[in-house]
Amino acid sequence: MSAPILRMEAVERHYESAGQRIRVLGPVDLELARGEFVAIMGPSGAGKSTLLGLAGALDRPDGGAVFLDGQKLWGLRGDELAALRRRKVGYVFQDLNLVEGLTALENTRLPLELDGLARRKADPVALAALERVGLGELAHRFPEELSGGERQRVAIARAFVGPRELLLADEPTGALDSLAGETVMRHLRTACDGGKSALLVTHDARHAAWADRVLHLVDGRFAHDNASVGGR
Amino acid sequence: MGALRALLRVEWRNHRRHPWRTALLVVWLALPSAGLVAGWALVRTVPDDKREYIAARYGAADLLLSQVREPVFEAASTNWPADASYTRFDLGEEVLATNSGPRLVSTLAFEPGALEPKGLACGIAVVKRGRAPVGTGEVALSPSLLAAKRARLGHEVEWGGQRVRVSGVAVLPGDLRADLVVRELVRDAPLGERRVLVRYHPSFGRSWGQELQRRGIEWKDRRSGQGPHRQDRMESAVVLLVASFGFAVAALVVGAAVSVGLRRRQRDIALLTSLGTPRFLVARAALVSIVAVSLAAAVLGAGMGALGAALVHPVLPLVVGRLVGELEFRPLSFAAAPALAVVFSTIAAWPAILRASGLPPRVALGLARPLREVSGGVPWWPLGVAGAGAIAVFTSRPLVDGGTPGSIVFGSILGILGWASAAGGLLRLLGRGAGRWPLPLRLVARDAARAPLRNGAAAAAVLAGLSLAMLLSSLSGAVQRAAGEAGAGRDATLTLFLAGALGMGLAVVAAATALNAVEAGPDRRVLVLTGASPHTLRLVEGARAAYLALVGGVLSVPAGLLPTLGVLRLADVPLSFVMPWPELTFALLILPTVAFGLGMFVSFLLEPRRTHDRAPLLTPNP
Repeated sequence: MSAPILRMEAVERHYESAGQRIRVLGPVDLELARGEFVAIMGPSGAGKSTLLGLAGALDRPDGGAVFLDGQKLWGLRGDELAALRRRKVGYVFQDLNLVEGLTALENTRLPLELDGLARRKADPVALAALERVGLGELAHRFPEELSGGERQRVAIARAFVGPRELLLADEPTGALDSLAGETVMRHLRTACDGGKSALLVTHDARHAAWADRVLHLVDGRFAHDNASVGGR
Repeated sequence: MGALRALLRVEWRNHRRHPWRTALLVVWLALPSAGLVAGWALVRTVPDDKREYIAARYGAADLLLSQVREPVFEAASTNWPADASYTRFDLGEEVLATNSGPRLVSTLAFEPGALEPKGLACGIAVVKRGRAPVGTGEVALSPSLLAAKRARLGHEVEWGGQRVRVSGVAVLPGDLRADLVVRELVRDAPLGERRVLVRYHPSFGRSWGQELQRRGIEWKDRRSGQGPHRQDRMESAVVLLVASFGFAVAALVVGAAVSVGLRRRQRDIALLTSLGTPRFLVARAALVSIVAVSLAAAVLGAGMGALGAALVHPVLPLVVGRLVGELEFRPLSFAAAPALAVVFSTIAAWPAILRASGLPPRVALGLARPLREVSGGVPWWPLGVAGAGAIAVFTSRPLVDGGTPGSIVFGSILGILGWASAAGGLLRLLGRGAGRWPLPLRLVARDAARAPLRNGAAAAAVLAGLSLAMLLSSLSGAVQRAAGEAGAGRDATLTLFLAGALGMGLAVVAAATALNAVEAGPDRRVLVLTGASPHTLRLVEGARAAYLALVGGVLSVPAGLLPTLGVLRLADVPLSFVMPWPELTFALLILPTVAFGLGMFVSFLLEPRRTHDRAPLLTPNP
């Protein structure tokens, strides 16, 4: 069995607020296998977004360790973390996913371009990613010329472009109508069926149902100790 | 009233939430206010007023007798009353040997006590340090001569074949840099022209003057002395014009900052209007807010100006090379500063306020980011205006009297206005054509194209300063070459002008870049999430600053050089075109490079040092 794409061991995170140290997460353990699609549900303030930030090397834990594709994140410099985000992790949020000054194709090829790949090599890869989410014909449109659902699909295409294997999604359907939301979830599911992995934070049980596993986070801890237990 | 108060509270809190943006407005409006108050006060002290003009010629006397021959004067003054007060002084020139060769210097010789504060010659020359010379063994020298003689107060110097002691440092009030020697007057050995200063005595009647004239002595009455006509109106007009230019540049920044601020509050404003708040009330609150900030900035600036003028006044003689009058503040300047600040900032902010308060709530609430125009064609109209300016310049004919036709000036102004107005359109055009540019440049070109008015204005400010610098430098170079002084040094005024243009350009570019960076904050977040390294983010911010500077610099070339070609064509003497290389280098290379470096440096300063120092990019849930 191959190593998990994401492993979190006894991860904790605190914030300072009004002079008080508040624990918002942990300690929690989590493993995400390659090709697995996990949804995390929970009430507001449960620590879902914090967990996602830690998983994607956007934030550092106060305790425990995070391993991404077998590499421990602790101690990496800013440029090393940036390289990790370019090559391993993709993000999709509720809004503000795309750079407004770049077309759909340019947004999709952004991680490849940032990684120094020549445009003539990056363009076919990005175009293929866009076509996988059904947006090949809109490749040269700017974000403001796209609908909310189309923007989220561009973000998904970018999240999985090139060698990236892990998608972290924070309420990606929050600002969409139900039909567009379903379309986004179907694309996520398809990507995971193709070998990619996804960690989805959502409030919507219907969307969570697309996942292989659903975890409930309450007051910074998983409600059931089933974080590493597979099953749909 | 209650609703307006509530909205004003929102405005106040918004200023507190974004103190740097408010500080930007305050600084930009305070600077021209300070300049207006200080400039008006200092400018008034520099030129001769009538009192200073007459004091430099008559001292404290009432009558000045010139072309006096000593025996004739002695004969004429024999019958003067015993208590009549008068003093002689000589006015001449002599050649003085210095370490740098012989120099022609002015010599003034006074009778003992004449230069004392109550002496009749007080004001014709001033002994700044030491004392007036006594006897033939002493002289007072001007600072320039002391330097040329490498001497100091109390030293002995070679003078006319003998050693004399330097008893004081003397200057002419109207020209501190003049080469001047002050000596004690020797009655029987006049140096140059002898003059006599006389205090009026009641016994002097009409016959007194007639007697002098009969003996061939010219005399003038202090009261008939024509001082220079004070150019108060001209001074005021120039100061107001310069200050207005400063306020106009500040208005560009104010308009841009208000526009960015309101765009970021678009949802809040839409929420307020959707809750039933009338649009005019929203607009009024925003207007009151900007008026209040402008007033505060102007008051602060006026205070800074008054303080600055008081600090500069004592050292002003060193700058202008003459003694200056007392510092007098114009009450009008304290009223004009807030008035201009309010008028300019209100005009600049009004379009943004109207746009923000007029946006339908469903549009504002339904969009994650404001809808903006990306596309844009060639800016034909502004380019047409620039073209018309060029035609006006190149079709000008010399006037019959040899003067420069107004069409040259008109065409030049049209050209600058045309290129300046084209800046926004060109930015949009460049944004559209940036598809194949490297990522940082493509991003900033597209961002700049999204706010063409604001960024076009910033580029226009760079253009205006640099194009004038090019025009002046090129003309000056052409005249120097024609006069056979091609190798002569560069005029200090041109260098100062270029430095001012560059300083203003950098300041405007910095403000516009900061506002663009604020607007591009969400894009920066996406770039970070997508894996842009800190170095790439710094490159983007550097490119953001350099881009506007470069566009302004490039446009300044035609705007500055075309009028030069027109003027040279009409000159009375054949003048050849001289390329203003220093200005071109600054416009096309140094200014963009400096802007790039500053942008990268500021980005470096602002980036978090460690990952966990930064606020989480995902929404935190504490």
